[in-house]
Amino acid sequence: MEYKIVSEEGCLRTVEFGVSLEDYNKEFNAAIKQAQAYANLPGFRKGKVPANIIKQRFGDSLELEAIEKLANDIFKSYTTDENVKLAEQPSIIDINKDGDPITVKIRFEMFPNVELKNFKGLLIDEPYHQVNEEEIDHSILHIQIDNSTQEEAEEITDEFFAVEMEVFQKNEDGSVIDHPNPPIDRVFLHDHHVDPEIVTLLMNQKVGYEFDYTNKDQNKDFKLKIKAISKYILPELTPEFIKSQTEDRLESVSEFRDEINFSLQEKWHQNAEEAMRNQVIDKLLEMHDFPVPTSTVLNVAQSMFEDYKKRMKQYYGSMKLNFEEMKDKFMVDATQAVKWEFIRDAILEQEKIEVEDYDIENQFSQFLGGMDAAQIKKVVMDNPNLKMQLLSQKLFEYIIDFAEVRSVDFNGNPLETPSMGIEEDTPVAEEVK
Amino acid sequence: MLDIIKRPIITEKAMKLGENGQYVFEVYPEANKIQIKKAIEDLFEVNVVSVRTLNVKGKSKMRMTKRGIMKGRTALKKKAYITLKQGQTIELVTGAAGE
Repeated sequence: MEYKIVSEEGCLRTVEFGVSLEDYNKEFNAAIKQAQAYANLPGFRKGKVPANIIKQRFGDSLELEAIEKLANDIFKSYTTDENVKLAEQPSIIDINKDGDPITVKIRFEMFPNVELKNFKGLLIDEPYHQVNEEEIDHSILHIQIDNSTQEEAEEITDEFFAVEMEVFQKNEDGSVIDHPNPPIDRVFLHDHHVDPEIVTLLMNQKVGYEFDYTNKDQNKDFKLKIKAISKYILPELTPEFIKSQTEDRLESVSEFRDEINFSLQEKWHQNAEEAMRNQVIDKLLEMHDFPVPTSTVLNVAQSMFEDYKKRMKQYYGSMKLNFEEMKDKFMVDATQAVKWEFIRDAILEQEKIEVEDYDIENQFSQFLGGMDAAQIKKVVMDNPNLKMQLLSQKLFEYIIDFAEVRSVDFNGNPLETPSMGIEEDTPVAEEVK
Repeated sequence: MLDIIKRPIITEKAMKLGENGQYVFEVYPEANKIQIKKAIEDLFEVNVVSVRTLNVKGKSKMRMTKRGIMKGRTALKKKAYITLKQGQTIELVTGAAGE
């Protein structure tokens, strides 16, 4: 098979193939014969149209068909011999029928050949945070707020009050814009999103109290009037309450605090893992420089845009979003994502990392409780996303195992030892270690 | 010439006749054999041995309209069978088919 690389730019390649005239004639005649069998022309019975009539009527398209078929066969063996993985459908861009052989130029985008650099021994920061009593108090308070009851009150005495206020906007000259049915705004004073100035202004006030307020973000003046006050009655940390929150597992406050401590510590741990995974991705992307197929990047960018559109629609209702206007932004992220996938696949292949039975069991047995091991394995192996999720996890663990890991806090400041601040004898500390 | 010859008739039958040096053309009904012979000889630079013609009556057609049933006929056609001098051919691959 003869071929010549005409041009190569990034992942885009144009190759010229030669198709011998003899092969072409054979294929063309076969195409005519095939067309004769089903050609239906007035004046002729089906299958009785002479070859020269077929050639005259449909010659051009049959000629193209024959060349395309031969070019496809040649291109297929070219991709197999040269181990070319296609990123998109190849297209014939030029056919030169003068001479023997006939030359066909085919353009296609292919997957890059990733030459892996040494990824063993990366310097990775492992962030660590020790949960403190204040965080546990804060978390318990939130649970109490979520389970609180409300009762009508006359006066605001602390932050555990919700206030309904009538909102009147003011003109630039300070006069109030009168409104027969002014909008009602409800604020919970403990909510950290509420402007502290409003909390201060409302403290120790009663229903009917009116005050002026300037929203500094919007640069607008308002007159606010308290319409109703309700007090949050927080539940006591009684054994019954703790039991109700822990599905009857725990009842003492100390056990409850330990459990919260554990779940908070677990969250920090997950954050740390994610931070480490991001570092692995960033470092590997930095180490490897290779072109990525534009068609693949464009597809990924489009699906990213669709996701974004869906999320925006969920939060803000219908929005007019145009891919072309936002393309540049998404293309940057999509390029990185595609590049990472190539690096990931290359490492998985080089290191022969595969999904093993125990990986499936560890990861999914708790979610797919009703199934036996064989069923769970089938579910996972039949689902490319689940399989890739497992492989990615294994890959990160593999790279981090070989990495030089430095303990830092979540601000990036080095810690002396990874277990710094953990009390050896507490059960929570044991779990973390 | 083009006022005499309308089109070559390309059908299975005509193709078969073509093997024996006979070709079929649709001609204008007013054209006579002499005119047809001359036209073919000038158009294809061949020698015509014989011309046989036949008139094809138009088919009667009927259609239902708001104003009742309309009856009519399709146009009359004239065909000419041309025999060429032995060894001469005409490349008849163009034109509409239908006899």
